Amino acid sequence: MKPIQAVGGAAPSRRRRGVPGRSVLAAGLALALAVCAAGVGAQAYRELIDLSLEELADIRVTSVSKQSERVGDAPASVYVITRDDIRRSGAITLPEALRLAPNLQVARNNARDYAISSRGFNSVLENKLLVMIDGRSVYSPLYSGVFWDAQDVLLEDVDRIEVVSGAGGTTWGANAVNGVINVITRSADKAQGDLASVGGGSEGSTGGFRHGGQLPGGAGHYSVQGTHVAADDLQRERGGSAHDGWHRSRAGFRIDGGEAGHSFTLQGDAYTARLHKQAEPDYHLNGANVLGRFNRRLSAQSDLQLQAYIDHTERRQTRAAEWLDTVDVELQHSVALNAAHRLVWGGGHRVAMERVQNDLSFAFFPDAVNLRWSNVFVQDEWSPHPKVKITGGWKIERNIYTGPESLPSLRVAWKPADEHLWWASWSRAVRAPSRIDRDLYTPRFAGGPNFQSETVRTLELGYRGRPAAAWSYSITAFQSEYDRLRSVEVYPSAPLSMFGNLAQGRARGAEMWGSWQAAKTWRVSGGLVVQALEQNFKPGATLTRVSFEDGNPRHYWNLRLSGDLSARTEFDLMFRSVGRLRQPAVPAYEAVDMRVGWKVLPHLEISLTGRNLLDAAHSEYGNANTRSEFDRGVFVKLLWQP
Amino acid sequence: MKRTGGSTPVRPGPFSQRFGALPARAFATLCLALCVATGQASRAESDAFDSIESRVKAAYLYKFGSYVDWPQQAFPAAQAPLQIGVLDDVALADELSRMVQGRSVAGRPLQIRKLKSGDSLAGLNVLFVSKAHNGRLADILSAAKAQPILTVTEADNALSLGGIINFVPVEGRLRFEVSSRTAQLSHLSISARLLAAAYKVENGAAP
Repeated sequence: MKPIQAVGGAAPSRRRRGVPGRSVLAAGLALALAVCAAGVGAQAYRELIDLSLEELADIRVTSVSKQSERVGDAPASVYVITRDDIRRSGAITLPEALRLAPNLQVARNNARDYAISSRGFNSVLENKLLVMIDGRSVYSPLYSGVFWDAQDVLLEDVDRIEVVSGAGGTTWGANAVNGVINVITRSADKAQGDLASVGGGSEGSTGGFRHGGQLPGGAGHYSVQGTHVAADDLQRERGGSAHDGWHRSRAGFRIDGGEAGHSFTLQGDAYTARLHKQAEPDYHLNGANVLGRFNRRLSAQSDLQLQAYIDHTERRQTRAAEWLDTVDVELQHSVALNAAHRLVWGGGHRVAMERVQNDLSFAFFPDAVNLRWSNVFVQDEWSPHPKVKITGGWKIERNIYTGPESLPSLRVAWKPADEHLWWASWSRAVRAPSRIDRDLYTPRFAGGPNFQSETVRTLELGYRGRPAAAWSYSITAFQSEYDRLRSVEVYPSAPLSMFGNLAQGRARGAEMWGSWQAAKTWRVSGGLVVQALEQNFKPGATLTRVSFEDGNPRHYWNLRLSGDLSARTEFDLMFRSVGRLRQPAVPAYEAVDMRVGWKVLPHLEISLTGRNLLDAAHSEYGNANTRSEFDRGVFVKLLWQP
Repeated sequence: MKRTGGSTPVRPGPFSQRFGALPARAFATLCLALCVATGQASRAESDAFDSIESRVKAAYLYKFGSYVDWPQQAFPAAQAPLQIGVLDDVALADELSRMVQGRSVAGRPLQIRKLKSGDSLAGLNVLFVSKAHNGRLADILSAAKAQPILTVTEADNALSLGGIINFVPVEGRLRFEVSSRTAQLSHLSISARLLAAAYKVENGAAP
């Protein structure tokens, strides 16, 4: 099952690849065949009557594409990962769950580091994708990326993950250059009752719990949750332990109350984690945050939302440490002016107090800084015709490094019929400088004192359709022009090289995915991204071999088969194929995961997940000398929901 | 910034070359073909999801019976069947009849009655009013009012019109809301377990 290139390619492996893969694949296909045959049999009829009230309340009665229609109507490239999808994938961490989105490239470097991006620029220092968990940004102003090892949620209580590829600056602000990931957890009234899970296997072990109940006096609902995940040290591709294991514990709560038109949410969590490191003491991560959101219907035409959060996170490594405290307030008001126009406007302010403990070889100056961002935005949704919607928006966001940045967008949607949507968009977004771009100092290298925002202008054309009840698909073509991209400049007069803005680039490609409800409980879905990235340098650029385009496969695709063997048994087969990366050179790979879940008792589910079944091990990202490889493995999980 | 130097990158072959790697394509084709081959494609009817909704409703109608206590006079005899009336939803009534075969609620067998508008409600313990009747829901509910009949509806304003349990779609799932006040007026006692599973419980005054 390994691609021809890899088998005969430049990366000889210690293990015999390919051969065991075929037998596993054959077994998988045989099982899939058996599964389909069983699906048409007597068991195809679900024994709904034996389910509890809560379980009945959890059955999807509209198709996925109907359910996400609000998102589905959005003139943007949006993929929604549902709660069911996450459970059925057997994922135990957030980054693993993100593999479900066809418009994301998820490349794992070692047990804890991931390179996750959409539309290219992928690296573990990826900086063009904004990530939010329940409206709280987890994008680090230190390097404009996400520390994936610190992000955690109880996956059972994630309602959905919306993955938007493409520039989203007008809605989400600076740094939503290539996409936005919105992790949305279930409101407390939907996360009621108790839940406990425990799992273990070759990847590590997990445990989680939730208790949900009603507040006294009918004021609302609450839930409290906790998670613990421990990941074992992996082996390096070149042999030896990578010392990259970790464990993380988290406790959280969520309260939702009020009624329609007058509701509130209060939620928060706290976490602590330890990361293994070769020949160094463990790294320590700690953090906590609290978020409040208040929605009020002012009139039949007008809604107000106010949201605020505080967030503390700290990261203590052997020779460096970071403490970050963030306060964020946002206000949004939407009002229907008349039948044709709906206006949304608002603003926000964020302050982040960041302190870094410096090391001789790696320092940020000043070591403590108050970062501030403020924004105002306005957006008009205009329906000149019942089938046409034109959305124009403009956000101005100010940061302390470059001042105000303009983030406009224009989107046109045409819905000739209920099941067909054509859309086109033009938008501009920026990646504002982060600390690393401006304030970094190492003996031979420094941030650029005049580093400017990177900019992108993106054109998109998309179609989403549901030609038959059982079929739905989405296709997006995009072209992005990047300017003032980060480059490394060597100045003869200075002892240091520095970051500059002398690179430009262009990305072109297409994203497509679709889903086929083959039978009542059987679904085949898949996605494909094809992309071409090119980079060039402006006159005056001195180091023209540093390139952003090499960490990206030309294409990647996945295919999933999901279904129920019986009312109590579910089956999932997930296949993905990722093209090779040039620098750091990583061979192309294919991987198959398979999960079977049995409801052994009405309240108890046992699931068995097999990962990377095609070959003994593969690598996904990073320098060949240091990257970890991911073995074939199994994971068993018990989920108890009385 | 870690990606410094390195050899000149070699352009990969055209997309089609790589995509054409035979085992991968064969795998994809097989996966897709599997279900077709076993004849499932014909089952992909446009109403696949409508029927799931109908079955979930049927299951609810059966389950509700276990969490409600009727007054003694609601049944002519100790072993009299629990009668569930389904107003103008033949598919649901058929589904329910199939589901409850050989089952009982609190020792009572179940009897499913297909009702047309204007039929008598006498002897019913549960009445499901399909949304086809939402226009004249107030009339139907007032006919059932103050009788020990558990009315189940699927209309936005059903509880304010005097319904007891009302199905509500919530994010692609089917939940239900309960008016415990109306239940009380109908001399039905609804268990805390049912109320806990409800999406919303209204305690306020009913008309």
